[in-house]
Amino acid sequence: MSSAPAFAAFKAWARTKAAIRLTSLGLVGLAVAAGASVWPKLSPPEDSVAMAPAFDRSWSFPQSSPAFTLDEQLFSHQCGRLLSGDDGRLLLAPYAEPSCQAAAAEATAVVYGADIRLLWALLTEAERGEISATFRETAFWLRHSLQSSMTEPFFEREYRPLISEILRSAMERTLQRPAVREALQKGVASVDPQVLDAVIDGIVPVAMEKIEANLWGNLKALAGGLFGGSDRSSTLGQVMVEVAADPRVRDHLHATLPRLMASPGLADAAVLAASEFVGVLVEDPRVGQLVQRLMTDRRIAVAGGLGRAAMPQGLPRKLLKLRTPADHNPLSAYVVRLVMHGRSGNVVLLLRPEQYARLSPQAGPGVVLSRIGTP
Amino acid sequence: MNAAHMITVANLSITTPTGRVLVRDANFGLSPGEVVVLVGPSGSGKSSIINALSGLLMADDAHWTLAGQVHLAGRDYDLSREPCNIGGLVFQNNALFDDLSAGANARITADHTGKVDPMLVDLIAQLLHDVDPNLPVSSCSGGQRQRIAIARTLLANRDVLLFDEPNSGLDKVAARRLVQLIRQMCHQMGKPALIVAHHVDDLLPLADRVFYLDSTRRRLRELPPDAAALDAALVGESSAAAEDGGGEPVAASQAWRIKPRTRWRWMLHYLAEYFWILCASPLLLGYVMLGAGIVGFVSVWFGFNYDALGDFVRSIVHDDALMGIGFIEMTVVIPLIASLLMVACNNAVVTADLGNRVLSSQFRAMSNLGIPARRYIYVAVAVNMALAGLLLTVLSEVVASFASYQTWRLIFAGQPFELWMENFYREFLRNHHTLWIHGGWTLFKVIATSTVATVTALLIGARRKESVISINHAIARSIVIGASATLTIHALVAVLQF
Repeated sequence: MSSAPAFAAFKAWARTKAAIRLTSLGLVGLAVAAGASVWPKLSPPEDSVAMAPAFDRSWSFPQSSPAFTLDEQLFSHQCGRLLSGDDGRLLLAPYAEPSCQAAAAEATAVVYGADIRLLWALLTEAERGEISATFRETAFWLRHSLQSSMTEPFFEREYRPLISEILRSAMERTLQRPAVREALQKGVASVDPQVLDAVIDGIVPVAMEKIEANLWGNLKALAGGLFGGSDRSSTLGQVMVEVAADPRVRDHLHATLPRLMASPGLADAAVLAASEFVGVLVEDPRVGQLVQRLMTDRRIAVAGGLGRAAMPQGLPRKLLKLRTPADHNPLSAYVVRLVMHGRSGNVVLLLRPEQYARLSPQAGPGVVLSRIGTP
Repeated sequence: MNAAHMITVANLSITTPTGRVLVRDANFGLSPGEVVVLVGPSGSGKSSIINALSGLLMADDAHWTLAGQVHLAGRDYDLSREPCNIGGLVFQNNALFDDLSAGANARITADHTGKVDPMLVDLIAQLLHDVDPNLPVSSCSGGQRQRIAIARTLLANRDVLLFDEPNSGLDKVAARRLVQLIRQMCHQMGKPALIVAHHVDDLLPLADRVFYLDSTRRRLRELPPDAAALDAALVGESSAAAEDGGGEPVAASQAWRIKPRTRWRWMLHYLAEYFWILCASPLLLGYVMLGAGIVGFVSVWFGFNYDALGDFVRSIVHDDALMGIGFIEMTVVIPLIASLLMVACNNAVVTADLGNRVLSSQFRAMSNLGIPARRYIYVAVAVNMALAGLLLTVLSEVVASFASYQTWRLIFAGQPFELWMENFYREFLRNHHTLWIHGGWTLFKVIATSTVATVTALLIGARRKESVISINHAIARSIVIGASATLTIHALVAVLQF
């Protein structure tokens, strides 16, 4: 075999100092070549395009905003940055990719505020439909889970007293609001006395029963009322909650309420009271904590089968417009991050005319930039 | 002793560091050109006498006790107070500098001796007529190595030539030829030779005198050389035989004409030699690059693929996660990995190198030849360790960046390079101050690590070595201590850094 001596010669050469040093230099050259390909490079100034707002010159631009192109499905592709100099000059510095260079030179550059509305605008009709369906499904499972949990001992023990207390205090504060009281008085005055009597006849026996059961509390409330104490309202609120929760009252109201609500004054008062009630609930810090507890309590999810809901897997991915589980949408990610950090910012979209027309109804017109040449 | 003696040694006593007396009140003289053989039982102290005359006994870390006077050419040495380095010693195992070529072994000695006598150069050219000066000493035969060692000692131009068991491992013919050579050189140079030998049959015929070191009385006495007629016949037979299988004479024996070099050139020589070993050996480069590449891959791959929050979160945290990975990689992880791998490899290399030099008496030989070996080697090692730390860190940063980018491209296919670049280097691009501050910290970590590792390797490597096993243990110790120091320094500095 003629290759054997050649191989032996090569092996001998490979052990020489020259061969070893050449190998070292080769390795260093390899590393330097690899490093040079990833070393930070700033885009050459000649690639940048000077821009200015076409109409709205009052818009304030941060020092640097990302610029994106969109594909046919309105999926974003980061393509450069809009830089704002100290002198207010705007420079669009595109990335080196030819598609980015072309977009910087030809596309319509529109600045939008980085908010969720923009993400919603980027979704197709089908995607929006899917998200709505997911919300409905999620709401269903939430409701179902809560209802299933209400009969569980842990719910009775840990949640019921707190929920009763929150509702009772909310109802009290609602009824104490002057606007509600006035509306109720007017509403009651406008009700047909016969209808009112029918309603009261059904409620009073139950209310009396509850008052008797809370006799000590009522006496304290009376004393508190006489001597200026504050127990009265809470005791009365407790009685009201119990009356409202009584099945007999619920059945009676079910039968008489339509006639009662036919009175326009009372209907207005009820709408106002309901609105105020929600407002009071929202103001109560315990409500937020309670919702958080309910949402994160695995026993509720298990009881109601919430784990099967589509929300944990599907909803964020759809909102972020991710095509695959491991996808990265730089525009959505940027907007969500700003929202999560509570910061404001801009994004620049390099759009074709038809894309701009498609986005405008949902996202608004934005601030269109016009090219004023190269820097 | 008589007036013709060129060197006289009076009342020489040698006591080992453990207090054992080897030689007591020895008196002898050496005349110009004479060959004297010193014999005695093993362990009797023969080698200690020539070590005392070559100044090595006093230079040892261990504390030997010497007494006596040496008189040479109007100068007196009190051995109890000052080292006496009148002898150039040819070591038993030759102690050639195996990192240098045959020629460089001779050249370095000449360059540290001063002016070389042209007659001596001729003598060496004859002595090494069949040795290619460019050959590494490891490629020379045993006889050639011995002659290189003798030539090197001759170049040191000491007043007396000392040989420690020069016939050890040689057959009778080669041994006699060697003594003949020694005798010839002594005559030509007018210098005496003192040969310590255990097997003396081959040496006696050519010896002028024989001293016997009595191991029971610790006394030195002179014996008449016997069996001269028998040995003369053997020498006559052997003189025709080619030595060492008959090496071809090197056509250019002119190559052995010594060209002088300055000490700075030797310093640069050692700096360059250790540069290729400690900074740029392919093995070191390859393994550090591999380590950096793996770090680049692992940090990005696992950073993005194994987040606990699920796939969609990866997109949201992408920019900040990439910035964090890039920043930590560049300022903490890569400097640590590069330093750790460099220290593990180079501490092993330096400790093994020094251990070998100690075990094979190369440092002793260099010291005997007046070569500041430790200065050359220690400075070259220290400079190149620091340089290796810096170069390999920069190289690792580059390779890790490349590996990180390629891994990111695998995960986020289709995204532009600039998206990676803007985020991976964001901390440094956003604020150049950050670059200088963390660059400074990284420089400090790397230099501190290299310095501590160098000191560790030099201290452990240069300690006394009894065997190859002791070198192996020293290597392991040097790696463990060096690597532990590296981890500690990087951890402590990282705490200060952030």
